[in-house]
Amino acid sequence: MNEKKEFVFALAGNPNSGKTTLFNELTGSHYEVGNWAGVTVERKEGICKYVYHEHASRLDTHEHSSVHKHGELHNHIRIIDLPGIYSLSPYSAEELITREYLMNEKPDLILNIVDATNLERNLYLTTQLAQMGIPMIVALNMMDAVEKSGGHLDREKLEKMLGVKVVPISASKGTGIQDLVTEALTIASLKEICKTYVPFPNEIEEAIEQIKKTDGVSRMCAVKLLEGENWVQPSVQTENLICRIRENTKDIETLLASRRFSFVRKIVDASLTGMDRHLDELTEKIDNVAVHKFWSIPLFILIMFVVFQITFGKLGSSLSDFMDMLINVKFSAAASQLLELAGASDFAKGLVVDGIIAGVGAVVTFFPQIMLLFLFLSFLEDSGYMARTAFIMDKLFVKIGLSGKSFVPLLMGFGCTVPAVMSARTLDNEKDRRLTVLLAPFMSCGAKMPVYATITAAIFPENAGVVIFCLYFLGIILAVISGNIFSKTILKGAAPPFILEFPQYRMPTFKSTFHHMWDKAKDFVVRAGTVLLAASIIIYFMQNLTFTFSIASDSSESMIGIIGKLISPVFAPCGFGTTEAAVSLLSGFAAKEAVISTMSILYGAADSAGLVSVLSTVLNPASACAFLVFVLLYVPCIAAVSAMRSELNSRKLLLFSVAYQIASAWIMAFIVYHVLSLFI
Amino acid sequence: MISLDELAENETACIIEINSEGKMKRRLLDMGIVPGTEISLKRRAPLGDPLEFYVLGYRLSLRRSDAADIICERRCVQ
Ligand SMILES: Nc1nc2c(ncn2[C@@H]2O[C@H](COP(=O)(O)OP(=O)(O)O)[C@@H](O)[C@H]2O)c(=O)[nH]1
Ligand SMILES: [Mg+2]
Repeated sequence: MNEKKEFVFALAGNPNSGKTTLFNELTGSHYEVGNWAGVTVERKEGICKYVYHEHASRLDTHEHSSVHKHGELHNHIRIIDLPGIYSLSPYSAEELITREYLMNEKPDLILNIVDATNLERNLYLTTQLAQMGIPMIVALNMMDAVEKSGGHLDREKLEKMLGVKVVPISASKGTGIQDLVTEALTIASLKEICKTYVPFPNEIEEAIEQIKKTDGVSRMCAVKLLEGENWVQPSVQTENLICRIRENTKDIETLLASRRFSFVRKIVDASLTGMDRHLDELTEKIDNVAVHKFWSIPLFILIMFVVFQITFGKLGSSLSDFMDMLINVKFSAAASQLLELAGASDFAKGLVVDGIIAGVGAVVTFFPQIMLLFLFLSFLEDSGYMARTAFIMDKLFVKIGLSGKSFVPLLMGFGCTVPAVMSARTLDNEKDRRLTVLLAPFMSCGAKMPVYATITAAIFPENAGVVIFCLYFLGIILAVISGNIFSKTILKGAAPPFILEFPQYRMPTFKSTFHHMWDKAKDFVVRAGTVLLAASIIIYFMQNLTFTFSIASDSSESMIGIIGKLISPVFAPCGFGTTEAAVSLLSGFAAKEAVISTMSILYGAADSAGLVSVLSTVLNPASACAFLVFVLLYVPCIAAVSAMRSELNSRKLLLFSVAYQIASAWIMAFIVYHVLSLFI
Repeated sequence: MISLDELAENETACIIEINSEGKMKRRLLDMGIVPGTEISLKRRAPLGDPLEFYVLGYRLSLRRSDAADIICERRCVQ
């Protein structure tokens, strides 16, 4: 163990086997998140905080920072988290990544995590991974759950029959991890190849040997060639052999899969005893209500209602108000005092206070709510409930070319488009993900609420609720229509297939839920410091400078004022061709709430009551409706667009989306204005 | 011999043949839907589709149209 070297361990296993939990346990918080080349699939990589330890039975962790004290014993271990897979035959882009990585990058060791409460299906993958010609170790996870249900595992028998070293662990409880790392390091440095051997019929075995010899590939690769999957380009000789075998053997895929499963079944029967192989009772009980014929839908609505109520209701908004007070009042006042002391010019002071702090602050204010929303969603996902909502909603979503799995991301769009777009990440194929992202802006986000509230108060004080409800409804209708159009044109393809495993319900630990939440919410924080900061500065400059870069004495001379005058004729056919309307819509790119605050500045209204009375004179019912429809549909704010950019991973699609939103907003506003003008 | 979507709730059957094609078939095989495996229908979704099955100790959900391609036999002959 003395040679100093960096080892690369690749973490592979079934979805829901506890991969993320183990990854977090192994790396602590020392990891980086990036994207796999070419696809928007998250790539997580981290340094293992555990090191080699002779007295392996004693649980012992070393923080990465302290490892240098251990000198030669220390080996750097880099852990790569691979997308969860059921087999090595890729089904989605994610799964292809796992296979390509294992084949091309050859890690020093495959750390195969196996859910011991679901051994048969998990070990099926193990038999495939073991034949990749890469050293491997099995981390038998969820041992706490197995012991709880009275199961007994014969580790030696399992190792012998499987031909792979097995270490029982519990990722969530953190037990067995030190053993695992020590054993893994031993195997990796000895380069021990597994002795797993799934016997196939003679004719096929001979062919496998032949292919291995002529093409120099692993057994796994040879088998897959015979199954008709060209992992590598076979030689001509091999191609002929494959043809012959496939002609002689009826349905070779089914035959080989059956062989693997019967091999695995024998192992499980021999090594795992006393486990009640019946469905676990807790999951059964919860599912009797959660996916019940009549109760499931009301229950789901109730859960979502509670989540929204807490996030956007009292608790969430008082947290936001607190942040608002902290940043936009306290911090803002302190900053302006400080600048005053430093003798900064009015313009510089304005830039910092009214530009940067007001602009970035407007979004930072929403952090508590975003964190809360993600906390709930992470909890629902980790607990296993999310898979059920997909099941409940699938039938409706097939109609617009999506699968039920898109339901939750879209639902979140009513809160904020940014988390909605980001949570599309959890969907398993790219077309599905892109379509979901394209539809998310149609869900009217929370930031548009102040706009609706102010304008309806001015024009439809009696029927505000009805008008706002109609707006939300219009958004949904247009999402359905657009989904239909997109899935028949730019994002062609059948509705995504629906083969979904229902994980067992598990009480997520606070640590893992928190980690999960932070993983998702982090981007939002980063974006506030980058994109939003820049946008706020630019908008402030444009609001206060003329095109000759002198300070504008009147807002109509500023860049924004001039641009507003230039583009306002565009909105004339929709009934709101005023400079004020045009400029406020423009500033809505930064944040939707800005539409109202800009109007308030431009009309010189002292407070919201003042704004309402001005608006009631400049808008009529038809133009007000048209304006509301435009706000509902036009391009989402910069934060959302930048989230869409990274999730769509295609400049073309992003531009399309922006153009589509603007066009549909304009056309719908035009129609609404002219139709309503006929009646009112 | 019936197809998987014809099972009654809580009825168990034995898989005989998988007539699905391409990637779908590959995935079904890899999820443990192989001839000889016991499978039971747990329930239908509230809107009638998809279906939830119990197989190899875990729960699997499939759409009816996909389940229709899987042939099974009502009573399992081991
Ligand atoms: N009882 C138990 N639950 C675990 C263990 N490891 C993970 N889990 C839970 O299993 C669920 C899925 O884990 P996760 O790490 O997200 O799985 P992944 O999909 O493979 O990344 C989570 O709710 C975890 O809290 C364990 O050792 N014991
Ligand atoms: Mg995970």
